[in-house]
Amino acid sequence: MIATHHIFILSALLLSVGVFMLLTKRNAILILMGLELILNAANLNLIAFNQRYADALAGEAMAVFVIVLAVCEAAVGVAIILQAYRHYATAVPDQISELKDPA
Amino acid sequence: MEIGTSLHANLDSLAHVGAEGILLGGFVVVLVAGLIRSFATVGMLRALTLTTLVAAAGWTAWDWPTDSMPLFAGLIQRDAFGSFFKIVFCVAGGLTTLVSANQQKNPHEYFLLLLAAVFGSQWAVMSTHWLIVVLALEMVALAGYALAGFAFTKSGAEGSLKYFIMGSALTAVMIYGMSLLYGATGSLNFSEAAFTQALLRAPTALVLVGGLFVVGGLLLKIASVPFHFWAPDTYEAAPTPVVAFFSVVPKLAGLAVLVRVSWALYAGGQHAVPWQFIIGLAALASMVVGNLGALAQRMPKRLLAYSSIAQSGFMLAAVACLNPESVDALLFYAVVFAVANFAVFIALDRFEKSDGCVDIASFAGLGRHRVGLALIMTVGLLSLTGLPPTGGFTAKLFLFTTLWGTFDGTGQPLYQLLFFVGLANTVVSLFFYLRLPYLLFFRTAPQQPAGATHGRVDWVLAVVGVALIALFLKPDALTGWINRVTFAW
Repeated sequence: MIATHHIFILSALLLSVGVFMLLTKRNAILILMGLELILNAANLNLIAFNQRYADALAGEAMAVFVIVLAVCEAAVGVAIILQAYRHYATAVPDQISELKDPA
Repeated sequence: MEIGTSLHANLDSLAHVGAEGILLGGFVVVLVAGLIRSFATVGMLRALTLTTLVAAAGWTAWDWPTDSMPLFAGLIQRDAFGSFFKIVFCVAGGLTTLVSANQQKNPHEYFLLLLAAVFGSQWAVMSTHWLIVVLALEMVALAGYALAGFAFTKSGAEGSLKYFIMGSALTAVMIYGMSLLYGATGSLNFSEAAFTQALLRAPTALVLVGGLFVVGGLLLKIASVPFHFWAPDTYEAAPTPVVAFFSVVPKLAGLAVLVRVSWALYAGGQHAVPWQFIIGLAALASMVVGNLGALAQRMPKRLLAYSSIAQSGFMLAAVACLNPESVDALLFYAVVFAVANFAVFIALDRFEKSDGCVDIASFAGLGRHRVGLALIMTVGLLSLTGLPPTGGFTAKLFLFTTLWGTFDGTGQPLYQLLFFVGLANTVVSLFFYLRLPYLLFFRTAPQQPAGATHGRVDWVLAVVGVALIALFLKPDALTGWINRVTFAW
């Protein structure tokens, strides 16, 4: 069995990579991928910590729900990105900015 | 627990979530009705949605809980605090449905998403378990992302995309925060005593980071600084009834969850992390940023988005107090805020339809031709400012009394600061809230507006306007209900 703190470090790295992708990637699809990384980092944590509290399966059960949630989020997200792409002919959020405060 | 007994416990719990059962049933009925050609008219779907929401609100009021009871093995808690918000959500959903008569494009999906959002928010306010917090708030949010684009315009797609990117990013981080808190405490149920005890033993850094991630995700839901950037863009682009819905339901659901979560993290004031300061700072920043941002706006919906950021700040100030009196003040403020927002947004919707008003300047002089509409909009805006004779005055009075009382009780300068910054911001907010009434009544229109048949005051608007004044004249009617709310501390 892999020790909990090793998995914890891995998940922290995954979170960092995910947040880095959210902040630097320009394409909305890559931002979605960053989101998935963060959600999976949380899943790893939930499952790893469940080793320490093994009398109940709370963490693992929650991880299953988070996986389903990630799918729903991706489905809605891709639909919204497609809708924006139809109007703007781009999936780069930086170029989709007609709404802004008056200068 | 043996599987048989836990199954029975869950079946027993089902009897106590009747309102949610009604909503689910109504959802299925609307889903099926929309597939049958002769039923799939806006009027029919609207009537079905409205009936469902009224029935759910009625059930909640009838089945009012007298004490708090954990259901589904501690996943949710049934108490008066939750029921109070559930009625607010059903009424808000009902008002949105009433004013959505013109939703000709995809009415089927529109009403289904509306019902789904109300359904999710009902679970959110009952949740005492991270899993339900995530699932319920995400249900509201996913419906919200889709509803934001329901004008099917270019800017609508942009507002929806911005809401989605910020919303889902913060939700993902919130789930990560929950996993950290699970690691620190070994429990996903944040209302049980074991969670609190484990929280006090856990490493402070882990609790701080996990808690900050969770609170951050909730701050996004209520459009508070520092996660407010989506609100002006999304509000500007979404259809006006949807904006009215956004400014009430997801926001109050997030606030209710934040009350429960911050109380759990606060652990009776024993925990090393000063959560009331963190929430208090967000409140201060929201008030200032919202009000200053609103001053420069030219679009009415954008202005109201900044106003709703500032109003979040006021409500967060009540959450930061973390005592029973502040919850009472918060409930009163939340109801008044919801009614006032609906008054303003419905009037705005009518002005958009009758006179094609786009920016604030186009409201000039319309008050003389649409007296009733303009008066109700003025009452709503006065209420948001906090001036008599509207419920907003009473709500602000309660809130500031609570803030000062908490300062007296604890001696924390934070509450004094919140008190004075709140007062100063109320004065600043006069400048932008009263700009619309000023233009409506004291300027002359460049040309005669189109036929007077449009833009009449109908009963929905009249009821909302009268309710705002009634809340000023007779606040006991509402405080009577609030006194029946005992938040389980």
